Amino acid sequence: MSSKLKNRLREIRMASNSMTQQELAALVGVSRQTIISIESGRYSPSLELAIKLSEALDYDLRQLFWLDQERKQ
Amino acid sequence: MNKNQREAIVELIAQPISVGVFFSLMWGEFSKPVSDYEFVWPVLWAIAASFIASILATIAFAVIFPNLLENSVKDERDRRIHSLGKDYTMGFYVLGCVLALIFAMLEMDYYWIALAVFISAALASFARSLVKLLMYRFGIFS
Repeated sequence: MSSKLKNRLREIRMASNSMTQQELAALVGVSRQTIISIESGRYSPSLELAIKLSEALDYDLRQLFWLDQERKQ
Repeated sequence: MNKNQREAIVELIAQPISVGVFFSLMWGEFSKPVSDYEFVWPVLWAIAASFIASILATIAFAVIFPNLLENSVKDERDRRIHSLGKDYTMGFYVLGCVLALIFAMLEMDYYWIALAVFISAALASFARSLVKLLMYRFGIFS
């Protein structure tokens, strides 16, 4: 069984006073490219960064990130 | 683009130049027997060419694209890409060391030993930059 970390970062960021990627990046101490990569699913953040993002957006961590599990046949 | 991506592009440019300088300086030697090859200065010049090409490419980047660098923050994604880039291309260094060891055991000419080490280092550096740029573009390979 393989799993992929999914997120609704973009959706929650936009709902959060339309915070820009740059603003969120500055809040959690990463580059804007890293936020873009996470939102597009090309990068899975560390637990530390995931917690920081959850706190910056004031949103539950498990609602923000979850594992999408695929069963291999 | 960030500083790490720029460094990877610069390295990607510098390594072929370095190898090109080496073989262009060695060109005249190939008509001699291998044991007579004068390869020390070509290797040193190739290493110097790599440094000079890196410096010039960095300056050219700064002059041509002054606003290209969005930031110089090195975050966890940069560190992971840098680390994985090294891990994925470590095989080239190992291959070079193993070849050099085998050549030494077979008492082959110094030239072949030096060539194995030099080319594997250049290939490793080139591959590392390429892998890093691909990971920046398409995401981290896992």
